[in-house]
Amino acid sequence: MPSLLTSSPASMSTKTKLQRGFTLVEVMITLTLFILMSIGVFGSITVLHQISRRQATYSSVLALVIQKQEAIRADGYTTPSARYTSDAEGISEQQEKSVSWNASGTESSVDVTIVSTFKVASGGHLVTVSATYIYNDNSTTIETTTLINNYSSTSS
Amino acid sequence: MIATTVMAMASVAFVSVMNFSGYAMLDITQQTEFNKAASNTTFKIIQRTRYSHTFEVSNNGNTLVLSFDDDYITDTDGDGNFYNDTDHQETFEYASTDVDGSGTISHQSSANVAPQAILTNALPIGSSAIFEVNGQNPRQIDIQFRLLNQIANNGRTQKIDISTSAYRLNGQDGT
Repeated sequence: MPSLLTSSPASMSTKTKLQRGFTLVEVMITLTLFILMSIGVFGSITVLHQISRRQATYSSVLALVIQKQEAIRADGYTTPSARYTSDAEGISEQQEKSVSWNASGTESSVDVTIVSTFKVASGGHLVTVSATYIYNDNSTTIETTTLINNYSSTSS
Repeated sequence: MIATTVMAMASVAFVSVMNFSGYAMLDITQQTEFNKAASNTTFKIIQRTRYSHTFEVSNNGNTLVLSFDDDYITDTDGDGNFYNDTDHQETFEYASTDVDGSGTISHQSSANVAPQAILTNALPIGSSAIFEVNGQNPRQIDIQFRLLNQIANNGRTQKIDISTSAYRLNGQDGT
């Protein structure tokens, strides 16, 4: 019966193998994988960052669109008038605005073109407000449509 | 020896990437939060202004007080007009709380005990007031504010500018 205190040459050989470090080839392979992964992470974060900044501009422009819609509502609804005609083609108004200002609030970095169209519809006029702006060479349009009539407007 | 050196350099690079990633994610999250908070506040002010019958802006442009008639059947003030009684008021107030001028916009109804902060990290855009009655349209309030923040140890800032107007649909012109 073999003694429990003796060890075989085979187990000693295994111990020697466990003490080896990483070879240069193993490190280089790991490093290459790490670099590839880092490039992916950098790319994703950069895109996410651009999206969040773009969303900030979107929110600012959306506030302008809502402003225009509220302004039209506050102007009152009288028919027939220059805005609210019975012509099926309707009419359009254009306005230039700016968003995203510098620290002193004197210069803006994004110009916005707001176009409002007025078309006759059942129960009033359909008013569409669309804002178009360019941010990072990408053109974006935000559009809202609402029905304006005697009940949803004011009689100024 | 070479493998150990490369491994050490890789470790430093890994820490740098993780550090950058962490701050970038903080940056993105903060910016997203700003976008949401600015939009919510803007639409809240626009919606409440729409249903008020009169409004008042303080001289420094930091306070907007809206008056509402909650009962159009009763002429509370007895002036013959049933729509212009001030049954309750709501106040939007900007208060600077930091040395750089950034502060809080709060909302308080006259029915509430304490004002509720609806926006933090807010400050005026340049020399413009936060609230201003439009000179040409007495129904219009111009609203301009900026949210600005810089996370500690992070070079980049998060910012959103809001420049819009709210309109009162009730009441009479000039009141």
